[in-house]
Amino acid sequence: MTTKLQRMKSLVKFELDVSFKFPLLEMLFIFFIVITTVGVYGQSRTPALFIFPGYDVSESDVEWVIQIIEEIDILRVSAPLNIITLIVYCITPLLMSFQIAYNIEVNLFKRYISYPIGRRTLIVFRFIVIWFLFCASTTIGIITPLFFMGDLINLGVIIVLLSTFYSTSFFVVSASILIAVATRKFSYSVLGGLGLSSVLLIVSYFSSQSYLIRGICNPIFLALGFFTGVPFIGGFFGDILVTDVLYSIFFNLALGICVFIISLLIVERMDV
Amino acid sequence: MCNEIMVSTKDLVKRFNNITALDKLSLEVPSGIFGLIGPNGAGKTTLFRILIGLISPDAGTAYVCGQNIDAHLLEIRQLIGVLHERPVYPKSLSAKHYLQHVANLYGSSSSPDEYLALVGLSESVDRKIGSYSAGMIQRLGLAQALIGKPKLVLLDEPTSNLDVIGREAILNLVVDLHQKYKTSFLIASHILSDLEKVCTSIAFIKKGKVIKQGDILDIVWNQMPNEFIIVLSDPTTLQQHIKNEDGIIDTHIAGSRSLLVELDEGYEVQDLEDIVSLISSRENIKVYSIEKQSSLEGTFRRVIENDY
Repeated sequence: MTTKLQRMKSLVKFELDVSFKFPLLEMLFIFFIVITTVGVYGQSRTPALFIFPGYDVSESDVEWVIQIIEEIDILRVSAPLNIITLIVYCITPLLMSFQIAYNIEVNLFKRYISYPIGRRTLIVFRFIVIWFLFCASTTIGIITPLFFMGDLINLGVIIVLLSTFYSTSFFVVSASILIAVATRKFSYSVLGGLGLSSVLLIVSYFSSQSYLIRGICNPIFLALGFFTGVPFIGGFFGDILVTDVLYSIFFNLALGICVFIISLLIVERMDV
Repeated sequence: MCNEIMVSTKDLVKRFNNITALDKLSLEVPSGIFGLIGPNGAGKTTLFRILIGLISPDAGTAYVCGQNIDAHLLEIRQLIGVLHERPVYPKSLSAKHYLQHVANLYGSSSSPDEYLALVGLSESVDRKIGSYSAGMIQRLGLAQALIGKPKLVLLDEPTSNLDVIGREAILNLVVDLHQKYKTSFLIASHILSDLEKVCTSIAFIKKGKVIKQGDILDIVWNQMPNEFIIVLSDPTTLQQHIKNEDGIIDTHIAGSRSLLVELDEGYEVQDLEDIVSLISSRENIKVYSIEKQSSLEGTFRRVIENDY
C-alpha cells in the first residue's frame, strides 16, 4: 500500500513537473479566477445581454431584460459562468491536443509508458488535473466575490448553476481527450476539438432546436431559463421545469462519462 | 527474481495492415548480453514494443523475466530499462532533474549524479536536455534505462548517433554493468562490429522470423565457409592468376588492398599460402597477411542471403 502511495506521489510529481510545467497550471488557475470574479462584480453594473443574430430588439425588450437583471442576482453567477464555459470550449481542445496528441506524436507518451506507469493512469491523471483546475478556479472565482459582497444568493441555486459548469467542462475535457487519442496528431486534434466545440456551441445557441438538446450541449442555458423565467432575448420561451435542468446536467455528465470511458478503451488498445 | 531465461516468445504474430512484422517468432533470450540482428524491417523494434507492452501481438505468447506480458506489464516494466531508437525526453528539464523523476518512478534510491557520471555526462548534469547533442541524448538514454536498477535492459540501436569513442565507451559500460551487477542486455543494432564485441549470444531475424539463434562464437564458426581474406598490394592481379588454381571456388575483391578467396572443402590455409606465395613472387605482389574470415558481418550476410 505504501509502495503504491509512493508510486502515485512520484507520478504526480513527475506529471506536474514534466507535463504541466510551471507556470502553465498556475496561470490558467489565476486566469479563470480573475475572469469569473470580474464577471460577478461587473454583472451588477453592466448587464450583459445575449441577443440572437437576426432578432429585432425593441427598446421595451431591453428595458425589460435590464429590469430582470437588476431584480435577479442569479445573472451575477450565470453570466460569468457563460463566459467561462465559452473559454473552456476554446482552450480545452488546445490544451489536451498538446498534452496528449502532441505527446503521442513526438513519442514522449511512448517514453513515459515504458516506465512503470499504466497508460490509463497517465490519461486519467491528466484529465483530473485539467478538470479539477477548471472546477476549482471557477468555484473560487464565483463564490469569493459573492461572499465579500455579502450577497450570497440561494446556495441551492448556486450549486445547480455550478453543476452545469462542472458537467459541461467534464464533457468538453473528455471529448477533447477522445479526439486527441483517436487522431494522435496535434494538428488534427486541435481541428477536431475546436470543430466539436463550435458545433456544440452553435447547437446550444440554435433557437429552433429542441431546448433539451440545447441543454444537453450546454446545460447552463436551461438552468438560466429555469431560474429567470425568460432567459434570453430571442431565446427559448417554453416553460422549463427543474427536472429539465437536472436531466440536462445528468445527460451531459453521462455523455461525458461515456466519452471518457471510450477514450480509455482506445488508449488501452492503442499501438504506441 | 528473474529466471535464467530473460525473454521467451512463442509464435508471436504482429501484422500492420497487410504487412506481417512478426511471423510466428519464437525466441529465447538467456541472461547475459544478447544481440538481435536483422536487416531494416526485420521486426526487431516491433518485438521490443511488444515486450514493453506498447503494442499487443495478434497471436502468440511472450514472457519477460518470467512474467507474461498480457497479465503483468507493470511488473515487467519495473524489472526492465528501455532505450528506444531515436529517444526523446522533455527538453525543458535538466538531465539530473529528469533522472531523479525516473528513479522515483521505479522506487529506486539511485543517485542521478552517479549514473550521469557513469555514461560520461557528469559535466552536463544541470544543462537542459534541449541543449544536448544527439550523442549526449543517447548517453542520457542509457542512464535513464539503468537508473531503476533493472534486471534486463532493452537497447534499440544504442550506439547510433555516437562517434567512435562514444560507441566504445557505451559498449564498455554495457560489459562492465553485466559483469558487476549481472544486468542482462538485449541489444538490437545494425552495427554488427559493436554486437560482435559485447554479445555472448545472438539471434538473426528476417521478415519477422528467427532464422538462427545461439552462442555467437558457435554461429560465426559454423556458418563461415572456408573463406580467407588476403591483404596485399595488388588484389586485381592476384585474382586474375589465382582463380583458375585447383581448390579455388570463388574470389572477389573485398577492398582496395584485400581479396576474398573461398577454398574447396579439404583445402587448408597452408595450401592457399603456397599458391599465393608462388604467384606473388612471380608477379611481384607484396602480401601482408592471409587470415580465415570469421566476422559476424560475414556470417550475417551469408545467413541472411541464404535464409539459412
